[in-house]
Amino acid sequence: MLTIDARSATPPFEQLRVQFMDQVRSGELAAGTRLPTVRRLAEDLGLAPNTVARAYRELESDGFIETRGRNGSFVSAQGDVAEQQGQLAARAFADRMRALGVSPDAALAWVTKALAG
Amino acid sequence: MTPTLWFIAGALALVLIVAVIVILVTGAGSVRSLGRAVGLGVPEHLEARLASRIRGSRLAFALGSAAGLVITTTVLVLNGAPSNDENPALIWLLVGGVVAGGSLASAIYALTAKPVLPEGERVARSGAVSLNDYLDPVDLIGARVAVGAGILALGVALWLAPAAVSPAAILIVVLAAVSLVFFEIAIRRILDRPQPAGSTSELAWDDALRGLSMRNIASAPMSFGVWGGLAVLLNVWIDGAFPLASGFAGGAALVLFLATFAAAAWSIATKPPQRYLRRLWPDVAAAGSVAKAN
Repeated sequence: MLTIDARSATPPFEQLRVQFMDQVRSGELAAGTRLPTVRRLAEDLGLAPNTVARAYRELESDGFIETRGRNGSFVSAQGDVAEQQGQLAARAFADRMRALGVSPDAALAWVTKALAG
Repeated sequence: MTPTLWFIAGALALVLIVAVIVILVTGAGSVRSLGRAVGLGVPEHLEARLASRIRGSRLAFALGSAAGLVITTTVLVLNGAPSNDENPALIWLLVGGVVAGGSLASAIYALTAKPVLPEGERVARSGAVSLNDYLDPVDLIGARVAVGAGILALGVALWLAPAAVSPAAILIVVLAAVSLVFFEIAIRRILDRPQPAGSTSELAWDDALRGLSMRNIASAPMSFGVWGGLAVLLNVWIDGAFPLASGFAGGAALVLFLATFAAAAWSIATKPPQRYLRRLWPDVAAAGSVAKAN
């Protein structure tokens, strides 16, 4: 979740950038997650599109997100190659479990069991 | 129109009048009961705004349904619907007019209602949302499958026994196709609408209400698709002039009826009104409790 406080001394684009970075680092935003479009996020947060676009540009130049043409912006995998591949595999697994209607608890239990075996 | 059609039109009118009265007299109670259905609590600071929005949405649905009933009845009377022909397609056309009116009005309300812009802090979701987050496959894919089944049934019936298919049945299938196109456009427009929110509770409620609007819109193509398919198949089956086609139509109608029944049972079991909760607010859904006010 993103929160923008218009009365804060920190500029909105910086608030946005820092929150995105924190969420990517903590794993709250998993690798491969699609981000809202610039226009949509600007409308939701009551910001100018340029403000959101600037935050996205800086996040992209720092390697946190990547733009895939018309498909939009996505969270980049972080860390070394193994970590990046692991994050992408986790994302694919989570999407599949969601599509199958499996609860997060059951999915985690299966993964734990599989890793133990 | 036959006495049966007049009776159904009268009963529907009565139900809609009662519904409008109930919507107008119920206030905060309706928000709390809807909150239980969608799995959300009602924060005190949002109660009045939510009550107004829910009342507007329900009133639009009821008045749209009433307009659909009046228009369909008028069209049937002006086009000289026979007073002695108990064609089931005419009944489905009448009921379909009500469903389509409600569906159209729901879409118009959801697409034109002006969002209240929160003052001060704003919250937004950091990930993008998709139609799958709001609509269960039974609704999203079910609407397409139902209309496809109706068109397929009509195509086969026109090929095997063209004389048996009534104009009313053809009209229902055409309306199914038109309402599916409208559904596909309207749900994407609703998805693209901004969600200005001052708290996570506000955002969760907006998710819940847009999910309900999308399901209301899905009801038209689903109903027309199933009813159109059944009307065509029953026309051919009852006609009986083409034994091979009649046998096929009877079997296909039974399959379509059972599939619809199974889909409805599945839909009830999976709680579609809480689909958004499981997809977008998994912590709240997992806790099995209502979202806390923020």
